[in-house]
Amino acid sequence: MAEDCYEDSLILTSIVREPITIKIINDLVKAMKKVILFNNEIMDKSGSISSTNVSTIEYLGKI
Amino acid sequence: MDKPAILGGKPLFGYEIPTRTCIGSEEKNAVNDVLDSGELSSFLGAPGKYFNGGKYIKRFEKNFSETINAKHAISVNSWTSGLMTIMGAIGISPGDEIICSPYTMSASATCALFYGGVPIFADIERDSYCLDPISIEKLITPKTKAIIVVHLFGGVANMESIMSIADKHGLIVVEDAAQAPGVTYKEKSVGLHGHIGGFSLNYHKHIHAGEGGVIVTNNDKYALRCRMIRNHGENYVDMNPKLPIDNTIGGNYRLTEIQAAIAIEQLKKLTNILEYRNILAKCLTDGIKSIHGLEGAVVRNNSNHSWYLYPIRFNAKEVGMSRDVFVEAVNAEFKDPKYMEQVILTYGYVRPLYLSRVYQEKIAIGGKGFPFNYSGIQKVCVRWQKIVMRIA
Repeated sequence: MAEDCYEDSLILTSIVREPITIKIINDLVKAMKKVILFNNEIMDKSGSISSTNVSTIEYLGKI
Repeated sequence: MDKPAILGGKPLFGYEIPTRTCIGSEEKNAVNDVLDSGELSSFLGAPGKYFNGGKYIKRFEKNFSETINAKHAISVNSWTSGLMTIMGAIGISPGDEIICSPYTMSASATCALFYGGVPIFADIERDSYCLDPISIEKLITPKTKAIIVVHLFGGVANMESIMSIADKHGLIVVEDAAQAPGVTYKEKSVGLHGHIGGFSLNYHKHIHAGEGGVIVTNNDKYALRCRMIRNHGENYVDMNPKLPIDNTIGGNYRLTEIQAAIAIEQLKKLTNILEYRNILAKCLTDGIKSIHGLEGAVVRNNSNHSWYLYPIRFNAKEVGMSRDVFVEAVNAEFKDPKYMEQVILTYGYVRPLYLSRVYQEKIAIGGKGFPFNYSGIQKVCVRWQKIVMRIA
């Protein structure tokens, strides 16, 4: 299960924190829905998408 | 609708994500009070009035223990040193096996190595991301001494089952609640369901002192041993001949008066912080319910969650794209972050610990394989998906 989470199945967000607002949470949901609407187009071009590598460990930096 | 930003469209949202605002006038005034006193640390590494620190240390520890209803709270200068202190206090010795989660910050396992203990990695539950009790029981041997439970992301591990297993086999349970301050299960704080535990006061956590941690326990013996290890315990046992000496060689794991003064003020804010995060998390859970292929966080019955991080389970087949591309695409719909804490989504958390070089090459203390070779363990774990879990 740990490897599945690491490699494929787990997404994390840290924006459930102060002073984030409910509007921003709702905007996140909107953004997720929009991306899924365009899933085929995105996957067709995914090979050309440059990664910013937002792995969580990079995000956390100093734990 | 405009095409996605990741394909060259305009991002949906152009505003900047606010960064944390966690230090106020209360903390600043408290720090100034300490500075005005001139006494920035009152610890002395010898038995006596100052062995347990000065007035801010003692006040913080008292306030913390009262807040979570613990008999003892012992501050330390990081949660990593807290975990190391606990390993010493519970008597970890060379060759002991300690069952750990592979999906956590590295110190939750390496703490055992400093005393010659060997981490043995169990797997995690699907919904809580915490240790799986079924996996734990399969790994118990006559050498098993303790279980280190991590309440990951601020959710509660399956403490009822884990304590049942521990009681059955006479094992010590350590709760790493670094990410879960203010979290309770069946109305008792995490950290107190096992024999000893604690919390982090690192900057990234809900409440912090820049760096720091606090050990909690209801066990008098463990509390005294923690206080010794925190502060050059070899001097303490020298003056107290009736005390056992083992593992009492101490470090300097002491919090300063300034850090304690900040932590006192931060602790007052914890309830409000958790309430705020709970509102946001509920909102996100409700929003995710309507998205096929995503599952929001699950909160264990009879518990709350601190929402250090909010976990989302992603199903690539149902969403129709890979997780990493999905994360990139969603983030692209927001303004580019200036700081990492403005990043909306991340993926993966940490690589399972048993894949790191320390465990793969079995080199930790010195260069000759100690403590792995001392215990006779050949492999602490190999990849779960390759089926073999433990070869002793």
